[in-house]
Amino acid sequence: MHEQHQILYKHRFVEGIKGIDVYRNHGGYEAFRKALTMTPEAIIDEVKLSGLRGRGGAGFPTHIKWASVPKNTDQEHYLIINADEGEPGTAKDRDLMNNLPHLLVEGCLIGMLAIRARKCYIYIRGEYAEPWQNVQRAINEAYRAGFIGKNVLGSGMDFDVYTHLGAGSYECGEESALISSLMGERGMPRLKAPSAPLYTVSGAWQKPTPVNNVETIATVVPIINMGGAEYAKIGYGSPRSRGTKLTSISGHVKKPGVYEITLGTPMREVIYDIAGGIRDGHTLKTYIPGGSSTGFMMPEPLDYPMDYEGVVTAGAMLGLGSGGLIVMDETTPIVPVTKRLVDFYHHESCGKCTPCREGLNWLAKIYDRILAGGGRPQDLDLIWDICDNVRGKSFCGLGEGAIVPVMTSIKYFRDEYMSYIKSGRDLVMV
Amino acid sequence: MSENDKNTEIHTAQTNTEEQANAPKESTDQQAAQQTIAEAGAMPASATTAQEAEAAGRVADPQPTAPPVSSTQADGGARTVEDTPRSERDRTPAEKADAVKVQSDAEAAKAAGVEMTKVTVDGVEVEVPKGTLVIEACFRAGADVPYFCYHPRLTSIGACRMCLVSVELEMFGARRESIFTCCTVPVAEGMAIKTRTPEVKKAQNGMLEFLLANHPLDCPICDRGGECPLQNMTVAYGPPTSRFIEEKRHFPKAYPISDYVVLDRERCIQCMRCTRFCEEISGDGQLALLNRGSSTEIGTFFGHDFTSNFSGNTIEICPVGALLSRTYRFAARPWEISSSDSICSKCGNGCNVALQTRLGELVRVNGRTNEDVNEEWTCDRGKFGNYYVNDESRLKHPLMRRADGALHPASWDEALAAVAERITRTKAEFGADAIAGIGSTRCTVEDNYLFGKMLRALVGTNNLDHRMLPHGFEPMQTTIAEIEHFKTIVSVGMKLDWDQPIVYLRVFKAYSKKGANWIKADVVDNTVTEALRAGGADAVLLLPHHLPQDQIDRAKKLCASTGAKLNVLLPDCNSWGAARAGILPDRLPGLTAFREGRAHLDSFWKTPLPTASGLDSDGIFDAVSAGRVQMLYIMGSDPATRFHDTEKARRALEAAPFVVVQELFLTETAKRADIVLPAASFAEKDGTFFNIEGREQKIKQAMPVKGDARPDWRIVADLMGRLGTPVPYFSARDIYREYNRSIPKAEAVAAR
Ligand SMILES: Cc1cc2nc3c(=O)[nH]c(=O)nc-3n(C[C@H](O)[C@H](O)[C@H](O)COP(=O)(O)O)c2cc1C
Ligand code: SF4
Ligand code: SF4
Ligand code: FES
Repeated sequence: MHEQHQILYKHRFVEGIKGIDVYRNHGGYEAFRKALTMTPEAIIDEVKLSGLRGRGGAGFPTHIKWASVPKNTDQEHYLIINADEGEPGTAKDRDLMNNLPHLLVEGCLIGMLAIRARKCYIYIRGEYAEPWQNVQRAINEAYRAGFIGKNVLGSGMDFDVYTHLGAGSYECGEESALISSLMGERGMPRLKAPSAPLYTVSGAWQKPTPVNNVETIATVVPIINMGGAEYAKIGYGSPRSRGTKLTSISGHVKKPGVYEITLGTPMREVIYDIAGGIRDGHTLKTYIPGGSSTGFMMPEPLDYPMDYEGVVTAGAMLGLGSGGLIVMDETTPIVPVTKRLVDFYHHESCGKCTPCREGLNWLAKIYDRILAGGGRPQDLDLIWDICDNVRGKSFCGLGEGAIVPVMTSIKYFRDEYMSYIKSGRDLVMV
Repeated sequence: MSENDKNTEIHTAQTNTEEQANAPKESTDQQAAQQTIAEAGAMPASATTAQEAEAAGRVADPQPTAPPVSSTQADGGARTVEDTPRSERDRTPAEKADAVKVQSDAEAAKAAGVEMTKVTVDGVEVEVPKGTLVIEACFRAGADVPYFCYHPRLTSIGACRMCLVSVELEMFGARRESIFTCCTVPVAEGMAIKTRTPEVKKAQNGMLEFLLANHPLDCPICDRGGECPLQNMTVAYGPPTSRFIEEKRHFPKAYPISDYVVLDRERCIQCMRCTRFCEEISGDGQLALLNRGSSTEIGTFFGHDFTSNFSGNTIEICPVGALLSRTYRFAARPWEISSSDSICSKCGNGCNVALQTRLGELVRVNGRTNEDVNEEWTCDRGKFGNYYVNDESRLKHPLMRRADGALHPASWDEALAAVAERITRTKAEFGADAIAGIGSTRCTVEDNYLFGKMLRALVGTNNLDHRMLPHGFEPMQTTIAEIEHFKTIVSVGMKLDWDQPIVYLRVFKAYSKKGANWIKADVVDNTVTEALRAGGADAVLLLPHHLPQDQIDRAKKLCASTGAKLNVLLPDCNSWGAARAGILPDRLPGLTAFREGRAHLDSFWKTPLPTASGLDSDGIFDAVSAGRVQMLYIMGSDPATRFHDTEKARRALEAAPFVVVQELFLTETAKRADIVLPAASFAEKDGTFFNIEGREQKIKQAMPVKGDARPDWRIVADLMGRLGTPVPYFSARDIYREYNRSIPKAEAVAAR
């Protein structure tokens, strides 16, 4: 088995690491001190060397995002942290915020230095009351310890970190919708380049506001500590996927939980070694590699490297996603599972664009009908075509992601649909 | 039939508007509809042949050009329905002219130093200013792209996903076709835009199927039916049948959200035009999206009324029948309407409107585009306030006060003879100055000009005014459109969105889009002074005409010293026109001072004018009460309710031995008259209004005159004949020509 590096989670299980004292005893805020001595460009260079890519789903290189923040302006910049984690199957940011809140806070401070921001907003999904408490407590402690506030560590710089609780919308995790929501507007995505300026140039309140995932920003701390080049050495797969990825593994495995997995570890090892394998007496039927939007995948091939590129070569419609591996054994009825996901996306669609708003509504109704025994043979083609009409045409990634589990379920589990359509019964749940 | 074939069939259909309007919508009829369309189309050209033709340098036989699908709303519905790219010789003369214009526009823009971008649309090359949206470039190239949420005056949001086009892009070393919404993307040099690829067609088809899935398809009882962009797009780009067999989304059917607007949420396609209008144009933010996803609906905050003076515009820009006018609802179908270009009669801004009538009744007032005045908007006063022309209580025949002291119907002949006789008698007994006239800020320039001519040249008096309170005349120093360019805007003593709605829209545009400072004050006080000082030459001051003269004087001095522009705004649709027609005791047509203009008019009117200067309206009413004025002739004015001192006006009306009133209604003034002459409303006559800027704008007769009423100028002309000078006027145009010549050249103020 490949060695699993513990970079983010090095001190995850240390007693009291939530508190600032224990955190500092384990080297906490040293990276921030180091970063204070560096220029913003130097920080971004380290991040560039590390090869860090966004851990929120899109895998966009973080250094490019930061470097696109305009340099010589006198306007304020803000750093926004995306802690809206709403993707079904993904719960890694929650684990991180609950157990290592200071890692997040320290990451925010370094991120602010890198983009010359003095204020940081952490947008936490409304349901995350406990992570919010932990993060807020950590922020308060950091204020008291002088890492946030006026004239931090004698640097002459003032930093502020705020938390903002969402109101329960998955869509508000989409970065531009998050910006709208943060500004008190309706949580709908906004136009992006080339139709509008990059939000790293003109985002929230028309200020440069890069948005980073919780895990992405936390990863900056070890990168500064160990150096970007050192971090880039970690990983078994593609040269463009470096470091580790927090992954929440759920479903029919023996040891579900959140793991820090070195990128490039074969998927087989992830499921069978790290997560302990399928529960006894059962076999792997299908799995969703990185949150529901990445769709179903078949047990073969399984020996591909789990990283941004590997998942795609193995046939995933969307890449690595947000790190939510859902494993299902042969007892799982795919049609109801897909219906559950369709219902989720239908419920969470913001309603801005036609294909997502109407297409998902239509799909939800078709699934209701099929499950109620009213399926028709032509429904599968219809579902496929509806998905095709959404694909590449919806405004944001929600619609784009919603159809992936649907299309993959039809691709791989047609017979289960046909069973519903022919006899009104599930092939699996008899 | 494969999906593609179906698409092609409907796309190649050559339909005209009528067919579209009548195209069956119910699913039971759809088979039949499909057949009709297939027959009408009669062209087997498949998408691939079209593609090939395109590839082969567009040598394919030109298809007969479909007549443009008329657009009944300002933003236009579908344009042309066609399949193959058209070559130069397929173009209609109008289109060719258009192309020439586009070409010359492009050249002019280039000459003016605007950076241009060259793109091709379906093989047609166009040059557009840098930053132009792809959708606009497509229209320039004569291509049709369906759209719903795009509106040239609103920010693009890319919500409806209807305007998808395809572009080949260099990506990762390979050229790839990718489709995107062209209403959101600016052009890039060399872009090869394709609006008719199979993928684009499939996407258009798919979007319409989505939009119609939950749409109630109640077109037969929908006001929008026949001029509905959703209908038009469906005919041109949509699927012949829907595959949606589920229960549709239901809301309680239409309900009023204000005195003027009805909302039918089932029909809404969530294009957010209305909400963007309220946020970006009128700035009152009244409509918003509620809920989310497929439950998204339009609503007002906590269900309170849609309170806005601009709510009617949302009805016009709504691409479906979701927002409806309560006054127009079920009043007519679009194809039964006749529409006349006119000018709104409700305020001095002079919105360009279309008066739409059915069976001689005004049913709707829609905005018309005039970039210099109202862009394409109107206010609710105009949109819903002009229905008075239909009112049953309008005067339909002359009335005369008989022996019993009450007003009784009379014939025109009897009434006019009586007026003429009384004028002659009064003049003989008491002199010409015993007669006084009050003109009107709501009658046309022609009406007023002739009225003034009758009183000055035939009667021989200068006792002539139209003002309901004393005020001077300051021509606006900027145009309405220019206001939006100022950095500091100070408005005093007005509820701008109500009193001067279109000026308000410009001010709001400057304030919200261009970062202008907008200072509101009640009087010309120190705040105003400071703001103007700070604003310098980049400031404009907006004053109502009714401000006390000392404040106006102070403002004038102030503006002169700071370099700010001063705009004193008049209230009525022809306030300027009444003044310019010379309905003032000391001014002649063209606002010429009496002394200077007299010589010219003496010879032009072939009569020596009275030498003594006349009384203004206050003076006239005082003189009536004092017995010096014996006869009042009032045209289109209601001093009994509108005069600044109504008591004085009423006393005078009662005291006057003889009062003649030309009116639409039995107003408080008309009730006190001895002879009431029924007049035609602005919708029933031709003529000219001058708006607050002094812009000359024409109104046109939109409907037959109610009852026996006559245009005011016609009444005056008749009377002039009876007073011994037959007049050769047959139309408002004749009078307008004469009015123009009556202005001494040197004094002529060029009409803006
Ligand atoms: C529908 C939708 C939901 C999303 N939800 C989240 C989320 O909950 N958390 C997150 O970090 N990114 C989410 N994203 C991805 C963000 O848009 C964005 O890519 C990410 O926050 C960027 O941060 P990163 O570069 O650090 O990954 C979502 C994207 C979409 C389209
Ligand atoms: S795909 Fe469209 S409707 Fe769906 S969430 Fe994104 S913008 Fe909203
Ligand atoms: S009411 Fe009309 S304008 Fe408003 S969102 Fe709905 S369809 Fe669009
Ligand atoms: S018109 Fe372009 S997306 Fe609606």
